[in-house]
This record gives sequence, C-alpha cells and structure tokens, in this order.
Amino acid sequence: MSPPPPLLEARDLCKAFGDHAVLQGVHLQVPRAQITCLLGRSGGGKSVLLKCLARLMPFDSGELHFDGCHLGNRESDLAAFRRRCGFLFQGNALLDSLTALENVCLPLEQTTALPANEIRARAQAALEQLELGAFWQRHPGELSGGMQKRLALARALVSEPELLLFDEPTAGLDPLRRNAVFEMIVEQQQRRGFTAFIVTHDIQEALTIAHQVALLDGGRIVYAGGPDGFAQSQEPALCAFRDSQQSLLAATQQLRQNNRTTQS
Amino acid sequence: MITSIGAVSIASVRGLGAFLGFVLSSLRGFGRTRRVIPRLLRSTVEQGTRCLPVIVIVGGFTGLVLGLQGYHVLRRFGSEGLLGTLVSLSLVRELGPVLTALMLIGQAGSAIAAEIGIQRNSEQIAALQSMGIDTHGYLVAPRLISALWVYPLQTAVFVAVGLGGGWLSGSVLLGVEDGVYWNSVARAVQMADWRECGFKALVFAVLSLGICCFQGYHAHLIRGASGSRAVSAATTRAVVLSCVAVLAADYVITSLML
Repeated sequence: MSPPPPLLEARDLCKAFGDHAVLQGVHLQVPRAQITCLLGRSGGGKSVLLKCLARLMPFDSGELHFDGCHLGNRESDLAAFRRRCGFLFQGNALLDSLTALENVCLPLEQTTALPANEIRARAQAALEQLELGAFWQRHPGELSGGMQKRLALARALVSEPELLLFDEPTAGLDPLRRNAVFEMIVEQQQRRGFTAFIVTHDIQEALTIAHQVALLDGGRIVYAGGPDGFAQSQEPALCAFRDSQQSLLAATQQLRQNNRTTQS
Repeated sequence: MITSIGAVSIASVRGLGAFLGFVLSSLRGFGRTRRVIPRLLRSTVEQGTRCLPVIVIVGGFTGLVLGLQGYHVLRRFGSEGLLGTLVSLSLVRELGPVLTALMLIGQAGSAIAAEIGIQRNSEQIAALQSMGIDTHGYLVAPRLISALWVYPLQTAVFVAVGLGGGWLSGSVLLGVEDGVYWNSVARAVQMADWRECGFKALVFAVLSLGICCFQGYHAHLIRGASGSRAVSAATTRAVVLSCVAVLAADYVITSLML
C-alpha cells in the first residue's frame, strides 16, 4: 500500500518582483498531520513562499497540489481549499473593530450555515481552550501581544482546518512568550491532528518541535527532511546557515556579557 | 508628448475599468456573504446618523445665504415673490444633491477610505481572504448598498432644512410674506425636479462611495508610498477624485435632463 500523498505540495514554484527573483523553482512537500518548519535568512522569501502556498499571493509559474489534487485558479477550488486551510499572520491580522468573540465567530458566520448559537458555542469553546474565555468582550487592541497571538490562533482553529500555516508566529515576542507560543502550537497540533507549516527564524525551536525541517536558500529549498539530518548535514548551504545562527548567538551573548561588565 | 498622452489615456481607461469591475464585483459578492443586516445597519449609522448634524448645519446655512442673495437680486426686478422658486429649484436640482454628496464624502467617504486602507495595511483584508470570505462583498458592498438610501434621505433633509433657511432669511428677516414664499416653493418644484434630485443622489452615492472604497482597498498599490503614508495618500486621493467625479457627473446629468 502506497503512503498517502502529502497534504500540500509545491512543484517548481517561481515568483519574482520586477527583476528580483524571490522563488526560483521551489519544490516542497508538506506531509499530513505533521509539523513542518521552514527556515531561511531574513528577506529570503519565506513569507512570500508561505503566501503563495496559501494562495494569498499569485505566483509566476509552477503548481500547487492540495490533498493530491491540482489547485488551480477556479473560484470553487480556491473556496474549498480555504475552508480546509487556516493562516496565522505575523501581525495577527485581527479585525480591530470586532471583539475577541466576534473575531472568532467570523469565519464560521461567513463560510458556514451553522445556527448562531452553535457558532457562538464553538467560538467560546475555542477561546476557553486558549485561556481567553474571560476576555471575549475585549477588542484586540485591549489585549496583550501574547493574548492577541492566542486569539489569532483561536480564530484559525475554530474552523477546524486540516492545514494551518503560520507566518513567524513568535516574531517580536520575548523568549518566555516565544516558548509559550510554540508549546501552544504543539499542544493544539497534537490534540487536533492538523498539518502545521511554520515559517520561523528560531532554529532551536524548529529543530525541537518539527517533524520535518526545510531550508529556503537562494530561492530554492536546499534541504527538506528530519531535524536530525538538518543538524548533522554537511551540505555547504546548511552549514553556512547553522554557522550564521551560531555566530549570531555568540555575538548576542558577548554583547550581553559586555553590558554586564560595563554596568558592574 | 503623444506617448505620455497615450499612456495617461490608457491608464485612465484601465482605472475606469478596474473601478467598474470593483463595484460590480462588490455588488455580486454581497450575495456571497452572510449575516448582512448588522453590517448594513452599521454602514447606515456610519453614513447617516453620524453625518446628519453636518448636513443640517450646511443645509441651513446654504438656505440662509440663498435667501439673502436671492432676495437682493430679485428686489432689483421687483420680483421678491419669486424667492421661494429660486431657493427651492436651486436646492432641489443642484445644491441639495451636490452639497450633500460633498459633505458625505468629507465625513463618511474619507473615514471609509482610511479604515479600509488600514485594514489593507494591517493584513486584515488578507486575513479575510484566507478565511474564504469575499472581501468585496464583506467590506464594500454594505457601504455601497446603504449609500443608496442614505444619500437620497440625506439630500431630502438638506433640501428641507435649506428651504427652512431660505424662509428664515427671506421671510422672517427680510420681510417676504410667508404665504408668498411657501406658495412659490410649492408651485415651482415639479415631480421631474424631484426625480432629477433623487437620480443625482443615487449616482453620486455609487460614484463617491465606490471611489472611496476603491482607493482604500488598493492603498497598497499606491506608488512611492507605503504604510501610513499610503493610507494618507489613498484617503486624499479618494476625497479629491470623489469630489471631481460628483461635480463632473452633476454636469453630465444636468445637461441630459434639462
């Protein structure tokens, strides 16, 4: 019996902005019910790739396959894809004129024919699960950064998507909150069994939580495989990326030590 | 020279096509969204209730000035009795629909352009798209549709208050008989004038609200500006283009209907 096809697959995806080619033939498979982390340098096209995968940005050439079927431009195909796919934006993208509860109700209200009380119950359950039950009346602007992140996750999860795409979910958060967000993603993924695709800078966390790690470099996927293989590979691109992260870590530690010496 | 004229012409035709497509797609998208009543009510309040004080104030002063100017002009010809005709026809045919539209652009249109521009900037529109929600139908259509009753109603309020203003300056302050004033108002305004007034209000509603929504929605495409500057540029462009469009459409409609 052959293994099930990957839930999402990109074939030879290309995207350029004017003369600047950001994606130059990306091949990537996102396996079902697993966590895949996409690593890469800043400005290397990770978010562009993610938005192309979510069909929020058109790509110049290549193909996307979802659940074994080619995902074309037909409105009905895209609508069906979006019902099964959630997206967590880097800046959360919560509707600031709506309350927390209204934000979570929104996807169900607009894309399903569920009765209003059922929608409300589901939204409240999603808020409770993410420890936001007491804040349902608050607007996003009245919540802390971490709470906004949880609210965005609640909104993405309430439709029970099969695929959830995360755009740098820990960007701008302190280390404690960063860990909490990753823990929350892992917990929800294990509980609900969705497929997670996470764009992140955080190499340590990626290697800890991911079933598969992919590295985007020079507009191509230069590695896609298990985290052990990523940590041990001697591929020049991987070594360069790991070294750059380690030297950044070392430089930060040196700076902190210098600051402490100056203060004392 | 010819090349640049050609480029501007092509860009204008493209822009007009994109605008028409945007309005049609918004109206079509309205049917694809659910729970529309709260959003229609919100848009009605946004354009109606909030703008009502400005409409009343501007309508009142417009009527006052018309009464004052009209009285002094008509007195030269011994025709003060026609003051009601002058005030009412000016208000119903021209000033009512045009000034109401300009006030609504300034108050509601600019706010809508800025709000949609900020939603574009903060990826709220992308979030709606990612949830499978028709963004034109969800964000634009309720505003366009509620404008179809708000603009005519606000115009009617403007005309009514303006007629009151004309009576105040012409009759109460300058001495034209009340009966003469109101009788000339009643005899001057025909059903065709009201039809023209209502038609103008509807056209101005679609044009001005459509332009404001269009500019806000495409704030990210403005060349040479990004972030808050793009929102600011989109808002300014929305107000200027809407005002120009309203005045141009007014000329076309008037010349066709006279």
